[in-house]
Amino acid sequence: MNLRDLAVPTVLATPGMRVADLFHECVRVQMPGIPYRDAMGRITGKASIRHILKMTCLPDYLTKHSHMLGDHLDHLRFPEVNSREILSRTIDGFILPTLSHVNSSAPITKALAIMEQDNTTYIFILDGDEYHGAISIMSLAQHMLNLAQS
Amino acid sequence: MSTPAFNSEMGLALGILLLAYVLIFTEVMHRSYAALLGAVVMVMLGGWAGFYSQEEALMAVDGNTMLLLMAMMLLVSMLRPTGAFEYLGIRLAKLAKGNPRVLLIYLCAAVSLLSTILDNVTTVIIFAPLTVLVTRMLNLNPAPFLIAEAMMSNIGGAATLVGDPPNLMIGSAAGIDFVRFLLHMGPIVVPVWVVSIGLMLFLFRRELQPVDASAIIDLDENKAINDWPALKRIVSILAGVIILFFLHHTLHWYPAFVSLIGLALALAWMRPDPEKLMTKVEWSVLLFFAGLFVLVGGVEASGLLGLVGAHLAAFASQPGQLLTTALVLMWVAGLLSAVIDNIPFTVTMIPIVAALEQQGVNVTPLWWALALGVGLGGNGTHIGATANVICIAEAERSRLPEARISPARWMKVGMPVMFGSLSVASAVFALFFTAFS
Repeated sequence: MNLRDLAVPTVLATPGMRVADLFHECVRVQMPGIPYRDAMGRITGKASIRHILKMTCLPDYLTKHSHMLGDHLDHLRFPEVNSREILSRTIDGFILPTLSHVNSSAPITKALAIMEQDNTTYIFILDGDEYHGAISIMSLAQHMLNLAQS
Repeated sequence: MSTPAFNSEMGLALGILLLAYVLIFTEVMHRSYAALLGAVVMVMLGGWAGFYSQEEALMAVDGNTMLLLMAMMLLVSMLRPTGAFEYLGIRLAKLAKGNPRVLLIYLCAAVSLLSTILDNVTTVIIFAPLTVLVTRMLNLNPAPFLIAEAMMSNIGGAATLVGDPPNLMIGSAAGIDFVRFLLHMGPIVVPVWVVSIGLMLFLFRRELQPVDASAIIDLDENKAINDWPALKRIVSILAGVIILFFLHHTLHWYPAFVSLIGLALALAWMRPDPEKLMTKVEWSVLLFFAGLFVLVGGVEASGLLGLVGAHLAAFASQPGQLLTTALVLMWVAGLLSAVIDNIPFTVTMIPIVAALEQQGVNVTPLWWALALGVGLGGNGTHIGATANVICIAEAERSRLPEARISPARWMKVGMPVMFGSLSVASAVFALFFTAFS
């Protein structure tokens, strides 16, 4: 089985892309992030929903004390959380410089091993700068179910 | 006693020391690496020139200071994950009932008290993020609280032998025990604390106005404690260590030995993962101290510090000049500590004061003056103490534009607090000078 056959094609994030467009694409393909192609045409990182939410909605002081937080925080209206403003921003300031990836000819086990090592649930299929799509643990689980049924 | 003349060995040692300090203060490389590099060069060239041997270099490292620091770091690292600090912080915040001024006083009192026994840095590392969260819940600007906590942790740390590394070094060199240190510094630190809090309440009066009467602190302090048995064990051990600190002089035990007793008990009773535990020791700090001890030991071995002491003795030994000398030392130490790391300054000053003693000067008041200066001076600027830097970083991490603490914003409060606290300390010191002599 070639990983390319399991890959879900996605668009690439590019400089100037809005956060709203990134979220639309991620929701459409059910992937938490997509690779980022810079102005020179090189894939140099990834744009991830989790990272953007962390950077815009979750200051450190909330994360550090999450286990002590009560259930009545909504009325506080933390100014950090402003959906419209966040969605209208560009993704340029939120690009993670590292991305988990494997070659299309790599075995599934290698993809799983890298995901485990990088503590992520999805991985990109890249041959150099040629991008084939992304696979997630959900798509791997679906593949295993398909194999069992056939 | 004849005064030795300045010679080439002294010049060589001074040159190495100055070069190392340039590397440390300009941050060309990490201060630990710079101190170690300077120490190695000092031993090599000192050995070549014949004024400093490897044996003397090893003897220059103050084992009491190093071991006490290491043991306390390990004990605190076992206390920290229990959530005790967070529990205390939330309880105090709720007790303040949303009154910003009372909240500031409570948090500062807690930070100061903890800093008398624990490392200032550890105290503010835990309290700073909690403070931001609590103040956000009360719709208050966290910046005044963060600035106040850093300053009050520095002031609290000045009160005891184990509250701040310079105190430990001074106490170790001068043979001052825990109780004597507390009895001399406590009566000065208490009025300094009161005046400093008063100053901050005045300087922050606009930011400390209640803005939202309906705001509540929606935090459950009971969820902060994640390991009650571990908390009970480590708190009882720390309580024992504190009791032994009060008795160490009577028992003829070094403070380091007291802390090692506590550490040994804690390790045997709590059995923490040794690999994880060892990562909690700030080895770079210990390496920095060791390097400085060796560096300054070389300068001392060259005879230079004795020469400086002999020259100062000519002034300090004159009748009526001892108080002036002590006050000058306190203010110079304070002003320098506001702009440079107070550890290298303290390590350098210790042998100079010790040399004065050899010249027949009563140096007892000078030890107190040095401890007060380096302890209180760090509040003047944002770089004066590590606790300040941590609170500024926490303000940045909060991503609140109004919480950002610029150097100018710090100094607007830091300078009055530093001058106010040094003035109060000088006044008490001068009024009760015989008690410090």
